[in-house]
Amino acid sequence: MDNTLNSIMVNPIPSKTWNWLKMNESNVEFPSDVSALPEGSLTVKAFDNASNDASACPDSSVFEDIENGVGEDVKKVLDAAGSEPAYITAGAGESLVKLDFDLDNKGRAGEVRFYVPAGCKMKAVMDYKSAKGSFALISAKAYVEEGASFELIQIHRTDDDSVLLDNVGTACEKDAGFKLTQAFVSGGRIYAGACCDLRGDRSAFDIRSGYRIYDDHELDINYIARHRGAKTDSNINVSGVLQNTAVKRFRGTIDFIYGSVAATGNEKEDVLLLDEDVVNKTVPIILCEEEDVEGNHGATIGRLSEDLEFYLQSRGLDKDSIYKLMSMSALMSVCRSISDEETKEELLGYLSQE
Amino acid sequence: MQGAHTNEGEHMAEKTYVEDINTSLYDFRYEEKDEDFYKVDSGLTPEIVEKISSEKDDPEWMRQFRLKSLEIYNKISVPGWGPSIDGLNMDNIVTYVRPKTKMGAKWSDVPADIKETFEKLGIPQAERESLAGVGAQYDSELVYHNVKEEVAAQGVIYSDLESAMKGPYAEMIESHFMKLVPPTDHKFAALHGAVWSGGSFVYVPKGVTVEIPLQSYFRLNAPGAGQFEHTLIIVDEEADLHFIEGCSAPKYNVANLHAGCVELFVGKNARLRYSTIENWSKNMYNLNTKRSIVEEGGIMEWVSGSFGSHTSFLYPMTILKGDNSKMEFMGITFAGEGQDLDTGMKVVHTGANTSSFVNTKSISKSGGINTFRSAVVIGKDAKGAKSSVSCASLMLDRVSRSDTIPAIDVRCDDADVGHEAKIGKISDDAIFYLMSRGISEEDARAMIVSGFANNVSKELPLEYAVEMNNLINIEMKGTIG
Repeated sequence: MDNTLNSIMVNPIPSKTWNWLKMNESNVEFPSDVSALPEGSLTVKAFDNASNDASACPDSSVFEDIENGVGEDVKKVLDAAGSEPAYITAGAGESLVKLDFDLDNKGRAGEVRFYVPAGCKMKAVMDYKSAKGSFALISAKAYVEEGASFELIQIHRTDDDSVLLDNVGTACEKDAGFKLTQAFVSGGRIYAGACCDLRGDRSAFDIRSGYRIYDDHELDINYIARHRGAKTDSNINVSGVLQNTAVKRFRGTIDFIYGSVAATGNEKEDVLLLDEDVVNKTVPIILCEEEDVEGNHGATIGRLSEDLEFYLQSRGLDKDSIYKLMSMSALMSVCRSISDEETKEELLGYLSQE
Repeated sequence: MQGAHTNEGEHMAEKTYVEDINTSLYDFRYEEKDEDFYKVDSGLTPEIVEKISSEKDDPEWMRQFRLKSLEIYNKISVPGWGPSIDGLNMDNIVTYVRPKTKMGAKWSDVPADIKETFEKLGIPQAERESLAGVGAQYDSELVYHNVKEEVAAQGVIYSDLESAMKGPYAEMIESHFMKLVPPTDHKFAALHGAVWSGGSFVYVPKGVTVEIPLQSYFRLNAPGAGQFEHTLIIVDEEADLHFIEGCSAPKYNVANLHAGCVELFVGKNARLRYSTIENWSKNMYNLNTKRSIVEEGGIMEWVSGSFGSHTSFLYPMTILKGDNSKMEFMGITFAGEGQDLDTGMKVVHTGANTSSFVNTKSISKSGGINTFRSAVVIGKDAKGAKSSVSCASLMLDRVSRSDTIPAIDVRCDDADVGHEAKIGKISDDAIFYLMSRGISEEDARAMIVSGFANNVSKELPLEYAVEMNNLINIEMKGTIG
């Protein structure tokens, strides 16, 4: 890998705060010889009722103005890699797509664009695995037409010595829905950003995210819900566990833009701290320029409750077992909510071996 | 501050009813005649800073401190976040305006125009009825300072900072002045370090409880001027003080600037309550810095009402240094037409078993912009720290804006941190219910907003709570249709 590195800004919050907190954005250095994903790094495991023929995409221009959750510097990396986006278009009724990423130890970047026509339903599973020394930017863009729904399930099983930039950008038209489930199972440094443009009336965005970060690994999250349409709804629900010297930064923004009359947005983060050297940073933001909206956010950050610990001990668990159980709790909970049974069973099996 | 007042000795009208108040209560002015005031040139140069230092007969360390601060000011850029301050041109700001009068301890010694200003604001009456001491600053200088005999007899020092700097407390001031808020903190702290003038020094000796509050009132009358008062309060071990700060200014068409600095030192097992009702005029850039450090078992309480200013950056900060120290913050911000108020708080827990409790409310109407900004930092050694932040925002129309930007940084596993925020509008059902009971829509909305602000007003002494509710009622006038 070329050692020449370029710095990009990732996961910027839409409204900045004090610089000394070092939460406004993160900076990532990427190799200047970053290139497109080679043959074999992306395997399509299932392809039910969907097309990966670019010509099947009704309008590729709709992706151009969709905001990137990781930030606009994503384009710099994609341009440097010279990669052409892959297109997946949902078929009539329900579609299922499973994409396995096996990332090598090079700098790689690529984008997958999902088009969900009016009234269609599509579910996509993106499973990331990476080699030691991998640097990768994978971007998922989705355009969800009127009355359509798109569910994206992402599983991160990256190497301890790797960097992954996981970018998601979606636009939802009238009555459309986007559901994102992310399970951050293992390590390295992961920068995950997801932005959903709720431009259509009654469109909805739902995120369920769980993580377990340990050793010296880092997780950096940036979720943005842009409410433009009337009666739009967003729910951001994040929970996780930090161990050892892990670092986690969570940025979540609900943005009620003028015109989002009767919109609702809820954001919640629960963090369990299991070791004294962890670092947890949280910035839950609400931006509001519309009167008739309801926005809520809440965060709870703390150690294992003594009552719960006592209860579990009274049920015969020793302290090590309790901490092991709790360290997997947030992830297990997210995994159980995965709607694709095959993926859920495979992941629960994987976690039980951990 | 409590009522409309025309001449000394006249009966002061009680502001019991909204009809007694008019929006010009704070917006009156006196044309300052050149012969009555000394001013430095507008702008900011080493010569101007030297001139201010010379005017104030600074000790040498302070002169050097001012010049160093100016250097820092010139090196630091304006914040890249928060409201725009493009309308503020330091080249047009006069940093020092001094009435040609000496500070007195009797109201009768204060020049007539200035005295009448403070009488309209109700300061003398408040002093008589409910305060242990009063300081009154007009433009850049204190014109009146007094403390009740019985309070002085307890050993409480309440004086202007300049005099104190040359008296028996000189060393104490030198060792505390801008140590909590160093000039390197941000651009306007550096500006303050260079041109500060006026303000108060309070020292409450060990074990002393000051039963009734002290108050400083700041009035900026000169157009295009800046006010840079410095408040330094040291509450020694097991002492107790309530300090009230009020501020206002008439409205001009040119930008005025307030870049004051408040440094509060709360000793072991001591308690300090710092209450502010800020009603600067709506051409004011309020770039104020307030910070407190709390020793073991100490308690810091902030009560903050922000109603005025064109643009505000205001985030009182508390450092919970000592084990078992505590902080409470109650705040309300009301942003109306033309106002961009960026307010909130910061707390840093470094001691073990420290706790912070924050409850804020913000109201936006008629195009006003409110931002609640906060930071809760739990340090590595703050074992057993607890923090709870709750903020609620009310939008009164579709042309206003309200943002919430809280940040939490936890570096210790043995901590319990909670945060919640809500944003929404006044419930139509509540308005309908009140109207069905014979209350007009305007009064119903004012009533609901007053209730919304109740967490702050109930923390204030009665007269100030009435004042705050009156300000809300004034702001709520004309919010229908």
